[in-house]
Amino acid sequence: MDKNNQLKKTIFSIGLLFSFFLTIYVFVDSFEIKDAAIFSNSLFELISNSILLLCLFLIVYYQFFNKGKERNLPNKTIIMSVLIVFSIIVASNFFINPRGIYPPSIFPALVTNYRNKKANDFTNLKKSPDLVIIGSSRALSINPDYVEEQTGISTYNFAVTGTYLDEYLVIMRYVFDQSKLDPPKVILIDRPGFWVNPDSTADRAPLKFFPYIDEESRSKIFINRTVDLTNLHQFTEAIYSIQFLLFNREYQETWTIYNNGFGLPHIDESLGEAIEGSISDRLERKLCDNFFPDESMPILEEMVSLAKENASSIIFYTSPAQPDYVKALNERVYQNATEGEKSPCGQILSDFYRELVEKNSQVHAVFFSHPNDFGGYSDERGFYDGSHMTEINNNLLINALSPEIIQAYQESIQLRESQNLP
Amino acid sequence: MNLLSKVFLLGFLPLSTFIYWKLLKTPRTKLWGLLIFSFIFYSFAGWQYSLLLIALSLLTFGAAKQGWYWLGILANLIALIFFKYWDFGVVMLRRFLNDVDWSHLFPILHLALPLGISFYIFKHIAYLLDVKNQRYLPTDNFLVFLTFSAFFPQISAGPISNFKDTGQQFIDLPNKFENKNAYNALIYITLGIAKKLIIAQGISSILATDFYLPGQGSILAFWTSSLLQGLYLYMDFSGYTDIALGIGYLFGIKLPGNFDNPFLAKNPSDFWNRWHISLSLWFRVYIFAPISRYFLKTWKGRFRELAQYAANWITMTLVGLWHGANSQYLIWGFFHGSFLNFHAWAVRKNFKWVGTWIDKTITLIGIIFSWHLFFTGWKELRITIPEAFEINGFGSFRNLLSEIPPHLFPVLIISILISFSGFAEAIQYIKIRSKLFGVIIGAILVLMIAMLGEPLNFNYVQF
Repeated sequence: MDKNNQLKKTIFSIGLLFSFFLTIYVFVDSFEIKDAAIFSNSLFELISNSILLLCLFLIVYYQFFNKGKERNLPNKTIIMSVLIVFSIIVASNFFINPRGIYPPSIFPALVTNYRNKKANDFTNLKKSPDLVIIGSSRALSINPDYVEEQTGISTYNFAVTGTYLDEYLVIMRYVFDQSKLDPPKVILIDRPGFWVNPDSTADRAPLKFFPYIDEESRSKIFINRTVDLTNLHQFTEAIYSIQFLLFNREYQETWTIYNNGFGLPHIDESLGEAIEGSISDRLERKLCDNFFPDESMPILEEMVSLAKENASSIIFYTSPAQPDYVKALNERVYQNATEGEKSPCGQILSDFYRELVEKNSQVHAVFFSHPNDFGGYSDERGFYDGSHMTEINNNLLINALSPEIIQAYQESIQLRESQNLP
Repeated sequence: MNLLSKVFLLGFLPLSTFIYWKLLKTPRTKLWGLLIFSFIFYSFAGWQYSLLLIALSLLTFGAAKQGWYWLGILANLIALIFFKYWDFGVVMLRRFLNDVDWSHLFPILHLALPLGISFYIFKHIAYLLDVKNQRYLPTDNFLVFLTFSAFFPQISAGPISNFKDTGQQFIDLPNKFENKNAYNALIYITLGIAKKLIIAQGISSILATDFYLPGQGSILAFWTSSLLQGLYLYMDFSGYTDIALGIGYLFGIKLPGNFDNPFLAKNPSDFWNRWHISLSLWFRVYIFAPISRYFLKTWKGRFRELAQYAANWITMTLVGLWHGANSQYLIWGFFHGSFLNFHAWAVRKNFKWVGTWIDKTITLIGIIFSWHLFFTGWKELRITIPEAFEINGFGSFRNLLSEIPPHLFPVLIISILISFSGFAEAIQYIKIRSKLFGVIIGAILVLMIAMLGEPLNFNYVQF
């Protein structure tokens, strides 16, 4: 029996030591101080493995070395330890606030909440813009100064990254509500992906968006953010924030966002690498993600009616994807897809817009399926990756869109005059 | 609501525990409290199923009181078959009678499985049979019986306990929250979460890599994946059971354990004393024993061996079928029946290796092989695996290890160490009454709750 116990003790001790060094090695190996996500993940894995190691240590210690001589039941001490660890996590998440979702702003948010910045910048504008761009990261690199230069219309770019159609509506409500006295005359909308994700919209929403979010999502925000106070991922991000403060480093932002809403991404890979990355991502996703969910129709219709109420015009436009990326998608991702799977959205989309344009005089729809359609570039000059155009291509796209923008602007003015609106 | 979600662990559980001990003072109010908590918990899985649970509990309670045992058993079985096996039965029927259009009479219903139906119906049947066989008297208190049926820590996936052990505890609920129970709850819940959240999820991540693609791997990859599948299921299910037992302790209720280091089984029969103990005990008492007796009686004491073999096969095939209306579970069950019979035959023949390390090794190989049947099914084993082995041969350790993400190695090492050394059960740690131990375990619990993202589903909840 003793011999057996001795063998177990040896094996467990070796296992413990091996796992310990392996954990440290893996952490050091994968540790990347420059990248928040990698740092946070490494730290998360380190904590996870440390819990296991601690458990193993307790097994080794109490099964082989300490035969449980203490007999008291230290409930109060245990509760204290639970509360202390709990408080450290909650307090770090709240006060360091690495995701910028709680009120304190002692530290700069690690995951910059561009929405917050844009909401603030928009309300701080001296004069309400006549044109507001709403869209995803695809529209972020449209320079409002260039739009104004080409059309003479004051412009603000309210595009945000990682957005969904329901957030477009939230932003539109916000924009019209914040500029009640002089609402924008044209809303330029980057063709949305038609995905609807109220949870994501609620998760990312800055406090200023709350009144414009649907009631159901709003109630989730409170619960989610309270529960997130105990989020260990957020805690590891908080540690990342602290170490930046300690070492006086500067944040490496993904985008630089200017006060007019214009955004420039920080690119660290070539176009070819970026396209390859995008294709790999797509290969991992389900084949047919090009669908048009039922919930998106009423959202689009509400966007149109909101514009109508404010006598504004809407221009829906589609910018093209990079041609090599489209080709690769068709060859590698959609190789076995049926025609229906490849482009169901295209048909539904054009039918929907046709109907929308026919029914509403102030709705415009312009589609560009290839950079050649507006004299754009297909190489590095025109694209950062498979779907994001550079400022140069966006300027060329604005050149092509200018007549439509000016027409929409004039229609809005006429409409306002006929309705005696400001 | 999932046992491993922040809503449950940070909201429902602390709140219900606080109400139970601080606001509900008498055993009767505590009983009402447990019942209400259980139905709030259950209604998260679909309030309409609560009605089914109440109806079946009422029927079982009444049937036991009136002596209509078979009626009660039949009603419970009909509900189980209807929800769990209807579509499977219709598909089978159509396959056999493919010329006849039965679809208007027997449509495929795609019914959702009410949470825990297989578990609480087995509790009901056990209750009816125990009362019928005068193991104990039927209860007069429907509230107690309903709480026993719906008790929220065990409703999702057991353990399947009998009324005498668990139900009786609801009659006289404790007034004081004992330190011992609080300590036990902490140990059980923490170890349960660690098993599921860190170990089972870690193994699941390894299994999700390309190190073994079904039907394309080498012999080595096949056996490693089978072992990992077994470890995953063990950590997942025993993690769930530990959490359920821990929650039971929080309310002063002691539930029976479900596991006893199954990888240390000395033989196939011993394995079923260590794996999903409450289910195997149920089948042993209510299926195996009556069937054996029936065969012995019918054959007038002759063919004793045959009676045991037949009872093993029938019982284990039913165990497989209990897991789901799926051929892979049926074959898994039948395999275990055959494995038990093989060992019973070896014992009768008095082979020298019986009871030695060879016996243990054969048992372990058989068990590991059976996990592959459980997860993958027969088709892969029959057709694709021989082809894959022909192409890939034995395989290499180096290739195999290179597919495992480095940060998951400690998970792998520790899961193997504790599973094969007999240190995997929470019950072994409640004896340690140390301040340091308690403090560390408490801190670990908080860290793990903080690690939780989306609620995690346990494998056996689907059954």
